[in-house]
Amino acid sequence: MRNQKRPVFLNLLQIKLPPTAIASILHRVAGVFLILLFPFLIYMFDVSLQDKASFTQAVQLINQPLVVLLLYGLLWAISHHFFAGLRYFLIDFDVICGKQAARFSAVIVVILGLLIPVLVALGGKL
Amino acid sequence: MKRIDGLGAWVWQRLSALYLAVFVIYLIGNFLNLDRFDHATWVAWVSHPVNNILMIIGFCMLVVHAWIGIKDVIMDYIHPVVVRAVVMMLFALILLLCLVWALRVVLMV
Repeated sequence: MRNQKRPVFLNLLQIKLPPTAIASILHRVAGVFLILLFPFLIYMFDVSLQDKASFTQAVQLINQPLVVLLLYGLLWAISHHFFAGLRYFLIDFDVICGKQAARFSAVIVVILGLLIPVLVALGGKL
Repeated sequence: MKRIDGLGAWVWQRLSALYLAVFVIYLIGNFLNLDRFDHATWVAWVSHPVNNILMIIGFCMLVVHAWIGIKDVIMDYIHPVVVRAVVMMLFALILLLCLVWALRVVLMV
């Protein structure tokens, strides 16, 4: 029972997503990305705990340029997923209500999600 | 029956999210200002009973959260029934294997 007359416009390059939609889709992207990284992370967890030599190996591996890049991606994904999830909790409990607050909080979520990896990069912790 | 299943997933998604959010903050609190990080410190931390139990629950929560999340994403974007079922089973298998692997590592430290 599909409405055949509904307007369909799916040019992804021309659709302008509001901040709420951007925060939402990034929440999903981050979540899927984290799941895909899960086997690799458990592998690292396993190797790092075995013995001193394999711990050193794990440390060397996470210092490879490509892996460092991946870890920044991981950091962004966790941080965005965390803040976007927190926002959903605040919406569930009616702390955030109304269009204005929804938009504003979505912008904050996207910024905070990016801010964490940037701060870590500036602090040189990774 | 279906409605109860859906509500269950909704509650579990939020319950696991809460646990994981608090756990992430706990991890940051534990590792942010470490002056030395070597194999001995790492093993000691993971094998500490409190951390060990928190991690066992944490990995279970993580897999529950991941499964509910990926199931929603797959159902939203993959429509052909067979492809959807295959992709779902694939992720279920990966997540289950990951859980067993992670628990094995945590319990054997």
